[in-house]
Amino acid sequence: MPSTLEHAGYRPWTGQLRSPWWSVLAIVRVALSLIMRRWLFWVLLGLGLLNFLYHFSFIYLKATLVVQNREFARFLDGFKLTGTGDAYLTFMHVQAGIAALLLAFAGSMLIGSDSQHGGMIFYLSRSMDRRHYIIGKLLSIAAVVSLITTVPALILYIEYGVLSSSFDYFLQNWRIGVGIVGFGLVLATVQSLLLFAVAVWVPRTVPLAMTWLGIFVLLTALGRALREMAGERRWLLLALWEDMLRMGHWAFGSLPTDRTPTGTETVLVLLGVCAVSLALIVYRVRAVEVVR
Amino acid sequence: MSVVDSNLPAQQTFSVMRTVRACVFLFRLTLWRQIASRQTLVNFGLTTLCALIVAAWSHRGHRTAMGFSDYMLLPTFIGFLMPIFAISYGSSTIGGEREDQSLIYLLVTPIPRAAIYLTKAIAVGVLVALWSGGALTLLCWLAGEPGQKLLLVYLPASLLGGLMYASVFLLLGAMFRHGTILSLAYWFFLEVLLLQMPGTVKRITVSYYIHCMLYDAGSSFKLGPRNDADREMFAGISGDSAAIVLVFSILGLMTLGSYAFSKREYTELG
Amino acid sequence: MPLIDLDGVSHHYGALRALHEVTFSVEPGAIGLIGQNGAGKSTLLKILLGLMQPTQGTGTVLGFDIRRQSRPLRSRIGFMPEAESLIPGVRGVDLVALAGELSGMPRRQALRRAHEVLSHLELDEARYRRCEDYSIGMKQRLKLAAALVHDPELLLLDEPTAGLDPAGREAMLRLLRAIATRHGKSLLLSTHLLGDIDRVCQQVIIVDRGSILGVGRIEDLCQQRAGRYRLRWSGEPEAFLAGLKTDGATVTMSASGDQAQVDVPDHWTTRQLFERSLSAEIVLHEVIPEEEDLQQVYRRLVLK
Repeated sequence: MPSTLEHAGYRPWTGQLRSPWWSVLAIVRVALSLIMRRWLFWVLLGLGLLNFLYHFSFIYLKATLVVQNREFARFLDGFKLTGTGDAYLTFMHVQAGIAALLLAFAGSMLIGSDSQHGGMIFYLSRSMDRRHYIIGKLLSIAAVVSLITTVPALILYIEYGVLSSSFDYFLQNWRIGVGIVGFGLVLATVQSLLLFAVAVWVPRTVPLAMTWLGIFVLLTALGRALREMAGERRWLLLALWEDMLRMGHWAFGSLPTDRTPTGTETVLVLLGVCAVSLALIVYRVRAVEVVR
Repeated sequence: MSVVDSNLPAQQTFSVMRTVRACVFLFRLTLWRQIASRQTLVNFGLTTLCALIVAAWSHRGHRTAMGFSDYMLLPTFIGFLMPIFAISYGSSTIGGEREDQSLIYLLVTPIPRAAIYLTKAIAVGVLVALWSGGALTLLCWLAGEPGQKLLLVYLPASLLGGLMYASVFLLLGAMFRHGTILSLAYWFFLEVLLLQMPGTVKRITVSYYIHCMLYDAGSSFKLGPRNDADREMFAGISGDSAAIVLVFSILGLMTLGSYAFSKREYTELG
Repeated sequence: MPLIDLDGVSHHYGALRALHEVTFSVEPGAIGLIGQNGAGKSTLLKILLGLMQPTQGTGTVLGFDIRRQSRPLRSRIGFMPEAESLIPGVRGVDLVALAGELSGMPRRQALRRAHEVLSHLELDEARYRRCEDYSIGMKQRLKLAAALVHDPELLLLDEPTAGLDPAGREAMLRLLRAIATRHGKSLLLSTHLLGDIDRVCQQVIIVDRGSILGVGRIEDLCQQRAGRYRLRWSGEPEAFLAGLKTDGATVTMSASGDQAQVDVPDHWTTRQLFERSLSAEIVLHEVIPEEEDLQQVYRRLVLK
């Protein structure tokens, strides 16, 4: 390698540096592009897309058939696939399962590899600090979750509204819009904090996927077993997946108020989980480990 | 000439002995590295969670062997814990060494590659069998009487199933660059989804044969599909046939793995 | 304004003392940081980057306080770590552009600048390859490109020639020298290889067990050993040499018998040598103050 710097001419850069908060966007963009480049992740994204297209087509079909024969509306509403809050909740719940599976595979690549391959040095040695790094990574995971759950649900909601005879649908069903955004926020926040916390402590793919699935599958089973043992429904709060679903019902306004665990109890549990996760993340992402 | 002739068998014997000794060392090293890995900690944590679930279940009033099998062992142990044990050690034994770039140190030794693969496969098999057998015994002990009845019913299927899963994941780790992710994908998509499908398509899954063995061995406890429709949906085969399929599949996978590992060029190792 | 100015900087990891009362000041230019494993080089780099607060002491780098202005400081520094520190799956050009964006550059300018820097470092043909597919030499250049992309004033380089073959090492050193001399960048080159520092740097910081053993221009450090002379004479030297030994000098004779290396006590000057030669009636043809090279300085200070 000849001294090309001398021959090619090194040009100084005289631009203006921006706030480090902009680097958060760069982290999100790179994380999303990493996911889009793996075919395996496309299998899962495709699965989510398939579910979305199924609902999308059904709404279109319903709108078309109802115009021709009003009786179809009552028949098709029996499927509870579209239009109601419960339908969107179910759709988002299925999509969230796909997102959780995708994160089990991708967690190591998105977060864990920074601890394994010295990627954290790459980030923290720039003009940003660990706040920006942590927020960037959390937003990356949240973006993946939202792209699979909230965004398609919002598209279906808008599709249903604009294929109705008037815009009254949006006015009458504003709660559905709020519910979609609210449930989406819960899913994105809890999953991003939880995955980040697991991945910084268990960065390799297999242990990470094991822990991630174990949290959802086994805690649910444990909660149910303890409820049967003690006859106390509050043990169901251990099931984080069910807790998120309960928050979904809360957001859509369909959570029974007279039944334990209540919405407030669920919020407290999820806030606790998020706080512990954040503490684990902050403890682990430290500059001390940056330069070995 | 005669000197060379007389020396040859001695040299060969010496070489074989050295290879055997090297394999024994590799076996111990593999065992130790896997036991000292983070997977062991995670396995320990997940087994503890399962133990808590079973302990909570065992406090309910009406407990039967059938209920313990249907609500505890099948979903938590057969459906989750056993494949997890296999995937944690199976995919990381060769796949993990590829990721860490440490496989090259094994490949440059004079030990034949097939012997390296078989030694690692045996080490993984021992670990998975110990974890599966140990966890099953613990869960059955915690469950009390129903568990004691089912321990011997579940043990052969668990050991064979665990070994079969381990062979699959070891092979994937040796053959593919992203074998770990492929192993996880295989478990989620093929094992979990196909088992629920009607017809004979589920016969390509390991869990089908495990279920067949369990239902056959546990017929006296009424394990298995409840009614004719479920039985037709499951379309089971006899426990002996399932065991034979698993044994031959394990042997076949180990042979295939040894061959693939011998022939494969691991370019990513530099 | 000094490039780096530290005053009484100490750092402890629990009971382990990594740096102790480090005080030094260096001017802009190419500076070598040398020391054995565990000497405290990495801790010093972390503190200079503002990634870690020292337990005690204070200091400035490029005029920025290392305690209170770590973020603006890092925007003026390019860091090339020893660890791989690349993101698997990302293409070379995207990685360098990302480095620019993380340093505060706008996206479009970061991308344009990434192409420029990669061309300068002769990685233009490999820019669209994923970085895990690069060879070791290419990875080192990629890391250098990521450190250079935002045109920093100071480059902190941790073992930049590690793992390179002789040709690659030669090229990397030539590149670093060009960056320092032609483009006015300051370098802090942390390495185990004295040869690398000799080739690139004008100043050196020698660190051992958390303490600074020597700082300054390499020539100055070498001249600090001025108490050693090589003498050549004609005549009978016995009386002359005996006199020197009586006065406390150490004499090492050459095989030819008309030359010797003499280590004189600290307070001596060459005048005393000439007086001794006059009284012993020999003619001194050469009195050459012997200068050390960097290796000898290092041996004297660290391996004594």
